[in-house]
Amino acid sequence: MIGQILRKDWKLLWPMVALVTAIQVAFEWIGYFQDSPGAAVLLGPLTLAWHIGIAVMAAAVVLQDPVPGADQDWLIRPLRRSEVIVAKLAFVALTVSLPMLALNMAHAMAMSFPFALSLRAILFKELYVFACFIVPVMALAAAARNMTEVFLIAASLVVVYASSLTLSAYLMDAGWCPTCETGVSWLQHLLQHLEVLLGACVILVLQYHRRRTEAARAVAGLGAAALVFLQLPWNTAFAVQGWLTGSSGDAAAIAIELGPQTPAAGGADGAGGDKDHGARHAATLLLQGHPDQALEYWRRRGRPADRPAAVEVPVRVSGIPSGELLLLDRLEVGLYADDDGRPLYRRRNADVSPMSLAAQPGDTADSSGPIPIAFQVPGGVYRELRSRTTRLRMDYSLTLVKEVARYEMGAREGLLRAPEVGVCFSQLDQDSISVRCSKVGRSQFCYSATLYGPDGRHNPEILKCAPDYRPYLPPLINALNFFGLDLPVRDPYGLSRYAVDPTALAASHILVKIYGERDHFKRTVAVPHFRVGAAT
Amino acid sequence: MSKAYGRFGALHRLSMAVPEGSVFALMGASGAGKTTAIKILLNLITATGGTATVCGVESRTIGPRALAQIGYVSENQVLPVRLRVHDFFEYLRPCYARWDRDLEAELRDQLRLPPERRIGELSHGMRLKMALACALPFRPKLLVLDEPLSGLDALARDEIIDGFLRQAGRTTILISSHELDEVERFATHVAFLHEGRLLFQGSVAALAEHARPLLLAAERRGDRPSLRAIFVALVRAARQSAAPPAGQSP
Repeated sequence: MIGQILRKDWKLLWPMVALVTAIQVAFEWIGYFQDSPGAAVLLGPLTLAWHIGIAVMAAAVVLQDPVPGADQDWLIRPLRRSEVIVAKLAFVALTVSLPMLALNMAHAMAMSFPFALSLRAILFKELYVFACFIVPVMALAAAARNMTEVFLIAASLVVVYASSLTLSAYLMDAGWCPTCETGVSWLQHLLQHLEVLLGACVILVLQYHRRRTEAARAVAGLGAAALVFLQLPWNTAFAVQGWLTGSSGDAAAIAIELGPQTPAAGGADGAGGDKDHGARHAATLLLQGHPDQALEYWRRRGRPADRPAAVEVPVRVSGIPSGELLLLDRLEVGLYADDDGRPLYRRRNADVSPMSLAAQPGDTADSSGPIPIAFQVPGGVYRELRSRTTRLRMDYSLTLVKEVARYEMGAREGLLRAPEVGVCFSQLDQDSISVRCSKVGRSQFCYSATLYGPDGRHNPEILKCAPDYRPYLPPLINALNFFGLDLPVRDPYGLSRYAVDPTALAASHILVKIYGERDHFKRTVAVPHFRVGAAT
Repeated sequence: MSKAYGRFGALHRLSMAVPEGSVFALMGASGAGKTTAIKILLNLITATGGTATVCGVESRTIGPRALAQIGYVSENQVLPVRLRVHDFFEYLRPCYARWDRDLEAELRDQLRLPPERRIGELSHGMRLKMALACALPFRPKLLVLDEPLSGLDALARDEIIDGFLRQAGRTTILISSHELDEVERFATHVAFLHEGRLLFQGSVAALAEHARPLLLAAERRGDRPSLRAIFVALVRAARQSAAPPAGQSP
């Protein structure tokens, strides 16, 4: 009977199938030319249309034979309900997943990616989309009588989810999300996807086995509420990530200690020696083409009296093996009473960028100077603790990344094909060279590029590290991942001078380095007799 | 069996049996519980208490095998409205091992169903005829008709009645209706429901005998009192027995 139900649904839904397929074709076609300005404009609306189209179709096929109610004709026909849901799932697999797989494969083949690698990544992506997007939408539709009810239920779930967020902020902390915006956030996403999938399966079983619509809707509501509260503690998530990555042993020699001019030890303002370092840090940011970050750095140092205080503690990192970088995943800062160890203030410092502890590319171990670690203390806490002696504890969660591949490509209209990067193109824009890569499967999260002139001189290496340690959780719509960076070749403000002559780019080349994670580990720095007032 | 929606009791300990081969009319005013009883029989809704057995199968576990022997027509039946008439027949045929294509053609011809029209474009009467034409070709052992005559003109009623009476004798027919005059023409057995309670069940002959003492003199005239008169008498008697004795407030 599955084939019979499939044929019936096809007769009813083929115009919608044609429309969704047209959206998919358009998306792939325009995605192929995504570097053109017109494509960039169209891709946003098409992505939205793709999501809506697939969701509506997944719901529509279920609603051809709605489960709730007692008047539907199919309920008194000799059909097994398990056959009905299997037919519905097969319908979406055949009319959404299969065309999407074919189109993604065509795109990958057009870009000359290896067939087997592409097929594996795209198949995985289709399974992921099916399990984490299509099945939940179908479960939602199975608890509704018609499309209006689907929208109403979906809107109700959004309200439940938002209420849970508000409640969690009230009960715990406004920023309560231990792994959000970190490299291990994928574990949280995976957990949430699994919860959604489990909830969807429960709803489908409830509906197609027992026809318990009220119970199914309750499960959906509870699931939406639980999504917020189902959080992995940071230590657990980081430990799981460490277990997944394994250990190279390279991290054993890495130590973090207070810099030579610690405010607590010096007892002075703590700013004198750091000013030079601060200037150097800002200049480095400027040379690397990040004027906004440089500006923010200086702005943070000049604090109006009523604003939170930026406390700065210089630390020195040693033992980083040559050619490896240290990424800071998370820094948790705590101030404790010096006498009884009572916590006075504790926060996860969201302002620390992953670059903060990185030895600069090309540096050898221990060659880098003290790195100022800044964290903010609320004005009230600062006033209370300004002149009090406390104990500072800084818990670092760190990742050591190592260069895994390096390639050269032409600086102008350069083309690079390699397993680690997929396909990369370089193109000269107004003041910089943009390097854009697309890759089937897992994207690279840490890479650098350096512009070398014909005479061997080079501009500063531009490093881009946005920790994301996921094995491979694809975007929903496309198995291709896109990444890249810009290499400044001239400063429009005339503040910076670059070693490579911008007129000699035709003979210049770019060195691309790819970094992969080696170790995830923790270090703690404790500073006794610390005075907050001395470190601002 | 019993059925309650919250504090409202739709069926109160209903107990009845439909003899095999009969044309059994389940009768009562709107809201008496006829549709609720039928939906429990077909496992479309769950009884609050009690059990029902249909074609030898407990109704809560009724499955494809039993459903393949049951034809169902309801005034509220939700058919796939965007499907064309001939597509719907095509869809149903493989569902039933005993589907008779000749009978299907005969019924479609007799009921004048337009094959190319979408079901949603059919009138209410035409949709009921369509549902009937889909309920008969597999020669069901039990044909359940839930208010099949409701809202139909005289011509359409006759066509529907002619349609399902072709099966009478070979098929047990359970028909719910509040159209007492129409049902009187063909029912062999009746059950009267009033406010979820069974007032009577039995053959039409037994019914007349049962109701005779309850009928007023004017209603007893003639060879056989009408179902309408019997029903009114039964309801009247039920209300009297439920009313508190004189002098007591209800």
